[in-house]
Amino acid sequence: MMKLLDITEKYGKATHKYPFEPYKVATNFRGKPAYIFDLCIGCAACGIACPSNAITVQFNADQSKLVWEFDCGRCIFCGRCDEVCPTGAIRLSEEFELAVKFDKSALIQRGELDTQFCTECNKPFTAKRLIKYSFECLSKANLGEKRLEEAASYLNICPTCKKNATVTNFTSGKEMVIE
Amino acid sequence: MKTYEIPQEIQDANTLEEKLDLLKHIGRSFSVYRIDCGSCNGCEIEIFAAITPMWDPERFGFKLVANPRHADILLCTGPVTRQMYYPLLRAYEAAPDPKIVVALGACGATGGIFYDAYSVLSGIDKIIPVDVYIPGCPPHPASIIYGLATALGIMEQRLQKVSFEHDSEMPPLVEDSVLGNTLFERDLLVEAKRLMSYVFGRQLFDKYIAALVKSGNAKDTKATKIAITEAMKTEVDPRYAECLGILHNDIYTQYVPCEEEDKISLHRVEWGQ
Amino acid sequence: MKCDKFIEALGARVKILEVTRQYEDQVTALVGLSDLPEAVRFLYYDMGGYLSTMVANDERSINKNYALYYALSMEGGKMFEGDEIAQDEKCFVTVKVLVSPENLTYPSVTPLVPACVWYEREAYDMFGLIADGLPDKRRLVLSDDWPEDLFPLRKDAMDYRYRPDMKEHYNEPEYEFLRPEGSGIIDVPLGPLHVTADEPGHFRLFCDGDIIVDADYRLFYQHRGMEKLAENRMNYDQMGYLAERVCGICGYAHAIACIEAAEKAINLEIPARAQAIRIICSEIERLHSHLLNIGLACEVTGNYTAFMHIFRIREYSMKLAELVTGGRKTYGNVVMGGLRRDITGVEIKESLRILKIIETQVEEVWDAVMDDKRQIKRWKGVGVLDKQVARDFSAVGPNIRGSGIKRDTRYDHPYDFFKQIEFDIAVVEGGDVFAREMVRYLELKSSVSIIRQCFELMPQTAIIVDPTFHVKPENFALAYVEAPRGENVHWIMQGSAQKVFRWRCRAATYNNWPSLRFQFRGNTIADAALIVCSLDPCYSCTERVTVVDIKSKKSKILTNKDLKDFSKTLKNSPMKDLR
Repeated sequence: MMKLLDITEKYGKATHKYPFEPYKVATNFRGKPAYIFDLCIGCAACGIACPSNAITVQFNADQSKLVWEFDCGRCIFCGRCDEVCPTGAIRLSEEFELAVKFDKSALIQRGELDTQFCTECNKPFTAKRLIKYSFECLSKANLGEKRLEEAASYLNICPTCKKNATVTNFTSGKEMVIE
Repeated sequence: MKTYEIPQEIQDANTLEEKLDLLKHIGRSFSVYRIDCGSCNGCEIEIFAAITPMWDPERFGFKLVANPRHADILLCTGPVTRQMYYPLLRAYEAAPDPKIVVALGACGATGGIFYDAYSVLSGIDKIIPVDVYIPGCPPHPASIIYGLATALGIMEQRLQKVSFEHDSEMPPLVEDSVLGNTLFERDLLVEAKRLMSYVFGRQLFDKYIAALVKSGNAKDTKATKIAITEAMKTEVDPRYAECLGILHNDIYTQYVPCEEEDKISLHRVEWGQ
Repeated sequence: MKCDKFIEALGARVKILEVTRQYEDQVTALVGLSDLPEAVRFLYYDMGGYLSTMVANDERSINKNYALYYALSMEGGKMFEGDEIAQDEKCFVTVKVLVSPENLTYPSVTPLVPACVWYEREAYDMFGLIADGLPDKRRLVLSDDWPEDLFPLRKDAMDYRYRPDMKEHYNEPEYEFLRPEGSGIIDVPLGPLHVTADEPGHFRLFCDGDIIVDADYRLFYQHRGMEKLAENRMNYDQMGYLAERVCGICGYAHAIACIEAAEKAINLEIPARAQAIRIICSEIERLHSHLLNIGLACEVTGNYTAFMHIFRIREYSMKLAELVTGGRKTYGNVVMGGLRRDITGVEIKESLRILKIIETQVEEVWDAVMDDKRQIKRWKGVGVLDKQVARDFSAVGPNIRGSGIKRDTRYDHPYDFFKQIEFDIAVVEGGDVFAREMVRYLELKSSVSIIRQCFELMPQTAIIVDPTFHVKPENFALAYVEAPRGENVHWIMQGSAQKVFRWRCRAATYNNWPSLRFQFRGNTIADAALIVCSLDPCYSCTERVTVVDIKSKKSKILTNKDLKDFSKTLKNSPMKDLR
């Protein structure tokens, strides 16, 4: 018993000063995901990766906007969204002071992006920013001019129409060369 | 699905005014009762960690009690499993009015990763009214202390609802490639992440690109070899150093035609560490 | 090849219909229904097997039947010196039977091998498969208000989100406890919300005066329905995060066991660096888990000073976890094919510094605790787990090592990086709380040395494989990891569309609970909490408990005197008349 008291004396005060002084977590601590709206392209990679479905990406009622929504209350802080985000719009911060009182909606973050409608069938299928980003990537990927032009035209078509167009092309009897 | 309806007298005794009044009175001494409603134990252990000498919430009057009848605050964790539904309600009704209910952890707040499973009821607030939410999976002891401090008014709440409703013009996101082909950067980043994970892989990627730019001519295999080897020598962290070499050998050589001699030896002694 | 010897011996006993190999050290033998009890008994007692897990599976879409897999770890009985299978012959043999959906009945193995009891009860709960001859037919896992004829894991039973109506909470359904007969016995209910442990579980102690005569328990207050959830909502990338949340303390061990089962089913070898980091993280987990348990064992006996010191040291191990994984719970790290987070030189340096602190301070505090005679008195001779009981129920982890049986998955079936690491297995004779805590202390020291060796040998590879592998529907495999509480065994059958067909997670404590009843007997109520604590139970892991006493269902009922005599002398184990 006395030995235990000796240990107490040897190591002295152990208590952190928090909350009266700030507390520093380890570098690269997995804290609250921070969302940078300007960088978000609405690709929904985070929504698909999220194991607890804390991130959802859905069209709003009149389909004019693609709504990205994050519920911090459901987040399990795994960092999958950070890992898959192609533009760095979502990055885990070192923020751990997350408690809210009385009103749960303070845990929500959301962003609304303009919808891209398919130029063929006029259905909404993704966010405008994703199309713009995809084109930007292609234009810097060392493609031929003709190929780029072609890409620009089919980027604005929804997957169903794209599929139909491909089938029509390939069954038309015309031979095609893809660069 | 039909669940618990709060009896009128409990509702009347638990209005917001009553609760705020209680919080004002218990400022320097309050009794907490823990209810585990089927959590994975992570939150339990973090509560335990939070009441040990390192964090010591007894500094501001936190006291764990063994009976809900003694409690001012009910600290609930877990997504509320079917079997724990009944004990939770018994404890809730037993606690004196007004009572503060804290939902701890992702499961407590919303059901967390289990939110739609058949044997859970998706969070404490689906059953009884919750006053304070402490997210985290599990919350850091500091988060738990913060949650209590916020509830007691020692600290301010930091989170607010954030909503961006106007789609603005997007800044250009894709940078020019050092080799004139962004596919190189793409493959490089993928491999960097594969080597050192997303956290450190991005830093590795930046280090590699910086070294490549420093060589003067990114397409000159001799110059780049010298530049990368130099970067490996000056790098303090041996893991980054070896990965710089691996990246060069595996990715760069695919995009710029290289001889065998342009590859970098990964033997630790040879790059001087 | 490995396992062939056992299959040959089994073939001489019963008729084997088909043999399939899943992995280098895993084979499955299909036998007829009537041969099942004998096949399992033969492998268990005659060939030196321990029951690792039993999986029930709804394979009607594959072969029109339900299937049962009794997986045995062939390692030798280990009851005396030399009673062990040679290191390179240790393997897993699974006995498989098909149960027809028409009569849903199979002969129970429990009367021959008591370790099967919970598994067979669970098979009824989840699939409605009836074990003919099972002494205890009560429900195990599902809540008391669950509809009688709804078996959640059947593929066609229900949507994974279906929630039957709750009962009025004033009329909460009662659970039926097995009460020993005799006069003057008092029920002492403990729980589900109680002072001694954080987690819910209802214990019914049957006492004569101060002495516990018998006990029964209702656990599974934390059954969350993860297995069904995984089959329906999760893909392989997400499953690891669900598996972690089986348990908040040994979560990492669950995650790697789950993911390795999926990897083994397709023979996927992960990079050496990922293997090393998996070992490091699981050993860090062992550090904080054992410190927690030793701390609690002090706290329950009133030694608060030691408890506080141990928890202060434990914070260093949490710091270590925070450093190498980015979170205090080593969560969010494992994906199929490798890992998501590397350890760089900066972290290694800092980790070594923290390890040094942990090592010296643990030694100091343990020395001080051992210096306290009153503390040791509270631990010695309490909650004894008889060696034979441990063998019969396939106990695992420090629980069985404290009873003098050298059973450790890291040693019996070295996985990942363990093949290249030298370490000691702590085995202590005695079977009481003291022995178990001693095992934990010795393991703390070996964990520190394992982590150091891993840092030294850290390979220079990537941390995840090239993502070009393909899952193969209907392939299945076992994976086993030595968690702080004992081996966690996961069994995965892969399905199509990136989802599992069946995931069976068997937590360490699942094998330890059934023998708890025997540990209770003859102790005082005051020690009940300590005994539960020394088991280091993980309620949420197991998500279940009710110990089954086969004896009380048999006609012979021991008198109080018999029980008392047994607990004093530890001779004439009541388990004897089971065989």
